[in-house]
Amino acid sequence: MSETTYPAGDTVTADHREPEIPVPPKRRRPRRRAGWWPFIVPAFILVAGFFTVPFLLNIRFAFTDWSGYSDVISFNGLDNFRSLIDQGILWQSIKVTLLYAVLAMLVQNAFSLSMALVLQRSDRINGFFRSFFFLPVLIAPVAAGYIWGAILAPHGPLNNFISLFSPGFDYAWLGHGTSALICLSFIDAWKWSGLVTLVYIAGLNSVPQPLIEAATIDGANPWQRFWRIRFPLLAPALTFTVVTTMLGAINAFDLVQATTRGGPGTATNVLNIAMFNQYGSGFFGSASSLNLVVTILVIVLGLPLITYLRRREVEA
Amino acid sequence: MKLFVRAAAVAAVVGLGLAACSANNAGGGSDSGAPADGTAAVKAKELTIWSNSADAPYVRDAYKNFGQKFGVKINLVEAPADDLNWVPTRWASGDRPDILEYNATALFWSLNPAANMIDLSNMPYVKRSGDIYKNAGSFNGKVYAAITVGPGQFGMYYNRKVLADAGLGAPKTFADVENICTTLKQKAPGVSAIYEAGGSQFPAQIQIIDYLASVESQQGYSDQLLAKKAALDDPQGPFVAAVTEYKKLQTMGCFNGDATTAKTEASYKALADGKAALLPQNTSVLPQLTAVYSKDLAKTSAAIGWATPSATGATAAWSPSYNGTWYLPKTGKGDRESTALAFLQWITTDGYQAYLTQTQRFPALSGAQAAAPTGLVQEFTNSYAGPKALAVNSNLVGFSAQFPTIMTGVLSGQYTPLQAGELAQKALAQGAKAARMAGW
Repeated sequence: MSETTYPAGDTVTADHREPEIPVPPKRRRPRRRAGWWPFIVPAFILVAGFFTVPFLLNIRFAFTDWSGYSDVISFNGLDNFRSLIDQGILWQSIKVTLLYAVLAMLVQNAFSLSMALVLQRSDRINGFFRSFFFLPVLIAPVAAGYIWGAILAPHGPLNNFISLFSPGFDYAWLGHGTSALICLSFIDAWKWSGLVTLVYIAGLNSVPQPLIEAATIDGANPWQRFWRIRFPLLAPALTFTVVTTMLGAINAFDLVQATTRGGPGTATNVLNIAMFNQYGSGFFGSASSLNLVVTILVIVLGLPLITYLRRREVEA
Repeated sequence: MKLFVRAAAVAAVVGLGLAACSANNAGGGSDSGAPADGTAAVKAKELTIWSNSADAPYVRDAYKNFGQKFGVKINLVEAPADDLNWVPTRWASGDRPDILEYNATALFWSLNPAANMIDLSNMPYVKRSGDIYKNAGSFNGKVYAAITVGPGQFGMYYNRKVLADAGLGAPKTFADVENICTTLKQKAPGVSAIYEAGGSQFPAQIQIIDYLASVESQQGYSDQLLAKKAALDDPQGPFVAAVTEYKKLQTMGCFNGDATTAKTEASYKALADGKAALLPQNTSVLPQLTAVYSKDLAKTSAAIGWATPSATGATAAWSPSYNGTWYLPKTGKGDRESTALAFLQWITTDGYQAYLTQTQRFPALSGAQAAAPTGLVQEFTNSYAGPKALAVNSNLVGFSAQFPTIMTGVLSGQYTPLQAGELAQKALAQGAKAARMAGW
């Protein structure tokens, strides 16, 4: 005897209902309670005061000649952007920021996913290593920058170690544009991988075990089980980690400032460092322009990325 | 719900309005009316001073002595010596000390002195200062700084033994520097001719300042640049020539191997240990250098000498020192402003002789006798007494802040000398325009 469950929750046997006419479920509108809005006010004030208003004001200032040199603030159209392009700051910073963000995201996710696979099982040893790899997350980015600056110095510990195999090795890792950018991406990955690893472990643990067991019985090897079952089902975790690591890296500042200050030259001059330098030189309008570029970059990259990854979640 | 929407709309409008107003004020404090004519009295029990992590001991002693004499508690806030952005960024946030220790170059123009600083033009010390305020510490004809010690100079410290062992003397021109480099490569291959601390950014500009000192002295180069009679991006001009010489020295292998990442902290010991022959620096870092020799000036002077090579002959590039240069921000707190003015009055009158003696520098104000200079200080005095010019970047607004970054770009191979010139000219244009200089 089949049973039908109706929206109201009553269960009746099908034999006593003929002919059966499907009744569209009535959606009960949630009753609005009058006193809800005081709960939203604190959050609203914080978001409006510390995000919305500054953001709107920043848009305005991006098109003004606001500077520390004068009290007068005048609209100057696109002059700030022209000046930043002329000085080779704008495109260079966007390029460096994107390269840094993509590299940091790739390294972080590849490393963290590998670590999550190794440390997924909950036992005492894995617990120790999860904590161990989480330690860098607790270190201040500035401190991490100084530590790695010392490690990567031409006569620092890394080169001393390499010198055991290649005597006299004294490459300045942070002294060459390309290697400095790559090193920064790896430092960022080192700093945050512990956190991303935990997200992936949580994602892996949410994959239904019977699915894995069924695939094993059907003869799937470990790689096939990972690639065809676990990885697709990791989609929500992947969405979260890819988006947060990528957008987080676009907003990089403290780590870069402590390690290279955007140098050598402007080789690691990410947008926030360029903005800080403009601000420090008293060119507040230009700094606001760069801030606007960061915001636009986050939106332009973030929205399609999130849309794509969410769609992928549904498909998975 | 309607009430919430209305409240939100009102909050947004008020927030925008308040924020817009605060931006227009740019953090400027009001003038409390404390007399800036040498008659201000000590009225506050506490002062906050933004100092520098590389302060000379005599600066800290000046604060201590004033505090003890007048019962004023001094709160020191240290700015990192190699972070040019520290003061402007804090300043831009609206934060103000009672006394600001800062450069008297064009860097202070971005603090909008007309709106934010007490005009010190009528302080008695100004009349005893000669014509230094024509070049430093003033803006649009008004004096905002109190420069209390003789200017610092850019040049090169050298290790006497390293040069003597190779049969070399102190360099007078950059041709001499090239010769030192070539000779040391043959006779002392383990020694770097020049220690370049590019990792600290600031030192990377010093060789260019040195090179251009004679050009500044002979042509008034920086005035020509500000008047648009010369340009930093002129392929045949002095600036591109200076950067080309710098790049040539690097290509010749004259710099330390870690020039792009080395920090100033390591440079003093490298010079003292004879790992480098020449250290481009400023006279104001003498305390850091003597620290390597247990703060013993005689010992330091026996090992280290001072030279001022430039393009065509020994010429000192002088610049007002941040040590002993003070500004008084408008804070709107009358008692504190009055006390800060009293500090300037005291340090430039009753306290000046003892202070000057301790500085071991020549005076910036008349009416005091400098201690007889010895050792390196004597060398500084000699070089200042000889051919000299204002450091070329001092008043090149906008450019001076970007100069170190541009030079580390040259050092790392990112920019050619001509590209460096182009970037430098654009930075100057941005600054001159922001400062609303005539013709820009």
